[in-house]
Amino acid sequence: MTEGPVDELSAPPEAPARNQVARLQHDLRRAEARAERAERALDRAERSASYVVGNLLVNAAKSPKRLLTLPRDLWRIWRLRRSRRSTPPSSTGPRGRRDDILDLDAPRLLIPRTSVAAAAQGSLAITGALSHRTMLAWQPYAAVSSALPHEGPALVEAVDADIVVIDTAAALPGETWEYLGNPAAVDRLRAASALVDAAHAQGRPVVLLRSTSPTHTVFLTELAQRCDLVVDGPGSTRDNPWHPGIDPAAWQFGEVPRDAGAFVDWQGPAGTPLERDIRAAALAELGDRAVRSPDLRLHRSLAMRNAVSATTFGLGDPMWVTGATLGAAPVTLGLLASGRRIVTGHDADLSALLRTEGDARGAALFTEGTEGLAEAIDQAGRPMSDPQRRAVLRAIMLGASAPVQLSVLADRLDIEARPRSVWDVALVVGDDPDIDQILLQTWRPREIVTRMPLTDRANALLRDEGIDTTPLPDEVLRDRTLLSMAVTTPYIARQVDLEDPHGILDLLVERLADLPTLPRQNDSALWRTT
Amino acid sequence: MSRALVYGDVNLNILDGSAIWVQSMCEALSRSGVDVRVLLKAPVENDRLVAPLRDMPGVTVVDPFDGSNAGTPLTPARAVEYLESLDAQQSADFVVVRGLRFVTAAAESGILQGRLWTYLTDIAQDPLALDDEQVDRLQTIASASRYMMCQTEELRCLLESTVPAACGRSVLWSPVVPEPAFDLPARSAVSVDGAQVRPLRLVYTGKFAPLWNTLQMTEIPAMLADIGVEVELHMVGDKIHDVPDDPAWSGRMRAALEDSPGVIWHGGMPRQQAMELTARADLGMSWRDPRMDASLELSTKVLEFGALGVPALVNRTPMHVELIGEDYRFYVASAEDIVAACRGVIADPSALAMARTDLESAVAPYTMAASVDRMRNLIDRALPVAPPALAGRTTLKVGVVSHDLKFFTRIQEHLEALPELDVRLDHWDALASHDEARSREMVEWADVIICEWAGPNLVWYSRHKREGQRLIVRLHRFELDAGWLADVRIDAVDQVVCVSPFYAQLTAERTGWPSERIVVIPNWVDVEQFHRPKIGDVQFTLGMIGISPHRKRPDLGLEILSRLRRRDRRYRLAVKSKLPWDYWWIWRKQEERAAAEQLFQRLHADPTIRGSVSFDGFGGDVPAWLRRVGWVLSTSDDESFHLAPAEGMASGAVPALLPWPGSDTIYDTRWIHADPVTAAQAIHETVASGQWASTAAQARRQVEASFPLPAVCDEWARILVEDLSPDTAHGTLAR
Repeated sequence: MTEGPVDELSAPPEAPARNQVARLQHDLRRAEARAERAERALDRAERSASYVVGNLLVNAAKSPKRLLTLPRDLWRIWRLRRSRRSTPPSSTGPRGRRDDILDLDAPRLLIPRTSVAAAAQGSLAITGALSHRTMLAWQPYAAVSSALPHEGPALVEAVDADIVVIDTAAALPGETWEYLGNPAAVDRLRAASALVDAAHAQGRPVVLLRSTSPTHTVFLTELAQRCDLVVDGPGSTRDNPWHPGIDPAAWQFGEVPRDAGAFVDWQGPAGTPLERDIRAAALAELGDRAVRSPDLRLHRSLAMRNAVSATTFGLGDPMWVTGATLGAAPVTLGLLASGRRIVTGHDADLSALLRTEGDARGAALFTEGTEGLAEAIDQAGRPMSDPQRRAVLRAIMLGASAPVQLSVLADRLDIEARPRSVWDVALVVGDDPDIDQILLQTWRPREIVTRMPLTDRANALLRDEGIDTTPLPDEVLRDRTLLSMAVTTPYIARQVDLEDPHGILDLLVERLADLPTLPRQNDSALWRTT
Repeated sequence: MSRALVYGDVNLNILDGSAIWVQSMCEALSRSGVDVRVLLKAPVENDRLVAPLRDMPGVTVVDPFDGSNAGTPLTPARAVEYLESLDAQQSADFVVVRGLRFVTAAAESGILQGRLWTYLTDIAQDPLALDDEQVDRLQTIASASRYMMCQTEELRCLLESTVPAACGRSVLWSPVVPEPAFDLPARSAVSVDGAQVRPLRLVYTGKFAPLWNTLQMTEIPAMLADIGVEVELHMVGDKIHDVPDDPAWSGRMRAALEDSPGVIWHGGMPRQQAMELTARADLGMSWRDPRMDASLELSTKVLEFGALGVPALVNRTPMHVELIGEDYRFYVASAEDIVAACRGVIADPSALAMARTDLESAVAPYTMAASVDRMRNLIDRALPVAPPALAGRTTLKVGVVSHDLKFFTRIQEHLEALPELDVRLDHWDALASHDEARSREMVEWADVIICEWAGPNLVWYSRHKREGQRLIVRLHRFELDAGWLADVRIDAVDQVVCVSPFYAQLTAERTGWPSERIVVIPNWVDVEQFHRPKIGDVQFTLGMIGISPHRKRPDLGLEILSRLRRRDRRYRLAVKSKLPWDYWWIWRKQEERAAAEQLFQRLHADPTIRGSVSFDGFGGDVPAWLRRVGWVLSTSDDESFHLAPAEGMASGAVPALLPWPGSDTIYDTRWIHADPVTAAQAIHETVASGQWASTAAQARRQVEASFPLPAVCDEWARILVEDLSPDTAHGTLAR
């Protein structure tokens, strides 16, 4: 085979001693760099592990439920700790690449400097093998740096990520890790394994996100065993359900056109005979009505946006989910978030999600096989009503939005960092707010703004739940501009009816989807601070 | 007639997959005209398998127990001793072996080394599960083997990517489908105009075990009856597994076989009878628990269904997709899927015929006839016949002198395999460093000396060779710039072999050597090694093999990619190469560092290409890697031959070259483009017009005709005794 004609013939044969010296010097430089890195990192790892374990113990002491899970958590930390070789240096500023070290190594050239995302202190940083759609969903909420197969270890070393994720959707055709999981592509599997090793060397947990069909991940069993957490997303089996969520804001495509036909994601899996039957029958039923799908030649985000914005409703992706697999695929959720109805086969997860909000149920038209398909397609042409749209968005925000899902993931991994505050709300309350009602809100505020300082007990309760309290003078509270400048969140809500558990969420949904303001008893309002 | 020894390290009293393998291997060898001695591992207790072996023409069963049915099965060490003594009695051309424990022992045998044809399935099938010790063991085995016989392409890829010694000697040896000893029955239509006219017949044969989903299968007739579809499920077999974790399972299974509506349990049955019953069914059941999906082996049951014209309901496993294709209709994951599939068959019986055709064509390569063809091909390669020029000569002693044989390995193997030749090696430690005593011994011993590379080795041999001793040198490229060529005594050199007409002419011009001695034998391309199925839609994937030093011009590769991605975002570039800093003698050069900096800067900064280039490492597993590549680029400033496009062509990719000097003397000008812009334009036009597959097929035919390994090897055998025509140094190699 011809891996290059390069050999030592290219080196001048008349000066072997000089060459030898040059080579040894080169090797020595690299060895010194590695040693220096390892020393610094070891020191870092000690502190990091102590912190994590200590944090676990403190949390366990507070909560009997956490006490029960403590041994498992400690075991996980020990496992991570055992494999640690190094951790990155601490930094008070934004996290990013470590040029001071990497400049000593030529492979630094592999790392795309511009794509190393910096995370603000305390907010979540993620790197790994990520699919395009997962990147899109997470980017607004976390510092996400996607690694190509050849740059995985170098990027993990350069980025001080909280979590390293291997998303099997990144292995689908056209994605950066295409062929991962194909037994004929051993190099991809090794690259993923190197990513895991690099993460463990930094003391970082690795999550395997199985978001593709079991066929696609069947050869990743050994890799899964090396990961710290394996979760199953849409399309995979329901062993350990969790999915990356979607960014609902990315799917707001304006007015839904009337009678413009359906969106069909042609890139969906081939599926089982039943899936194919339903899809074929649906397409036959659509007949001459326009069917749109992403133009593969274009950038995927743009292609998806173009295609979806020109349609009235969509066919679910996939059209049928067996009882053993997870449903609620991102494309399906995205279509719903953009105000389009969905015609789909059996999908228990989607059904369960929409069932949480009564009005949302009719947004997805479920069919049993091919029966009732024609009627469903006919109904799908009707645009969603405003209440239905509110309900759908409410369900997605609470049950399938990326920030919520990332918070869940951080909880599961016992990571302090949290997703960015893209939709965090500061709530302006009266002098004696009902703390319980605040905590019962389905979309909790990140900050409570009051005129009078709250009691110590109230402050403590809120602090335990991650909610800050900020007393502000009357003149600031009365002035929207000053108030907006005084809070740290991107939204402010006031006069909210806290007896309604969806009080804050509904205002937020109204704002996000540009829906008409509902008449409310209180003069409640929510606005952006920027 | 060639002679083979066969040992499967398997007890032939027990009918299982490995025993069937021994049988089919012996049959394939026998039908290929090989004289076979098959060594038994255990005393014969029944002759169900041994008797058919004895009946095969040219097959001798060697019973170390002398017909006694008592005795202890052979240990690996004893089996190796037996094989060595059999070889001593009558030398075997090759030794076919199976079973990791035994093969490990056989690989240590100095007598058997180099003649082993090794077949392994009992190795970890996940590369991450292979530890260093296992890899070392496989490396030893592969080094001792002429062939590593792999059951599937995936196993071959695993082996090549993990065990460097397996590269170039791993070949496919697929399962062999049994041939039915009866005519396949005609089946009547199961429905007319959507109305069922007879029961749909499903069949399952084999063991009853939880992972085989046999208990769930028994519920399917009732599920179908509920929706008005009448089904008979014929189940054949009498082995009901005991499940330690669920002791009641076997009872439930038996009860289900006996009592389930629509289930007809036939119990155990001789194989041919079971095949006859299977052949009368409409659909075969091979639906299994997903935990069975990770095997890299092929299910012989599915192959058998295909050979009997019965579409199989199978899991969508990677191996099944590879075998039958993505669009096969009867992939199932659940009982509901099976119900839907059966309902679909009633609604549209043509689905059965289509699936039958799909499966039949998928299993065609696994028939005994196809296996015999494969075997003959393997034998021809391993035991080549000398060209007429060497016929009838006494043994010719050939000395090969080089410090680097990476471009000569296959030729050396070929020469070593010719009985008319005795080949020895004078391996130089470095370009100009050697053991002079050994070289002098070589001068004394050899009839012909081949200097691979025109380095100081040529200078030395041209000054020390014996009178009348034939001296041949192969000059590649870099030597032309070296000063030592002036020291070569060209009168002592009989033939100067260049790999391309351009370099032959350049050599004549630069050195002033007599042009009648300068000839061309192209580089070899092991076309068969590269001929493998592509994975996925590769027409958008460009490939570059080797991007260092910078004269390989990876920057032009990026430019082509950038131009393409402006038209279609699906184009990608895969690079199989070490990186510049992996070569210390490259990385120390300032200009190389600057070029690398610039290259990677563009890679990260240019939005048209960012994230679309992967560096897939370095290694001998190029044929496996090329399965993912649709276009192979050759953008160098200068090459003597550049095998990458030729290897790409052999793999079924399309070459795209920029016009480096001499490229048109090797490759057809249709593949050579003036600059990156026109290269990108040609690539996109080919893809966009749907011509990629046919163009790739043309490229493959061309490389087969231009520089196939057997033809190149024959020329090398001929040049040992005959001068080649200087006309070879003109024109183009492209055919």
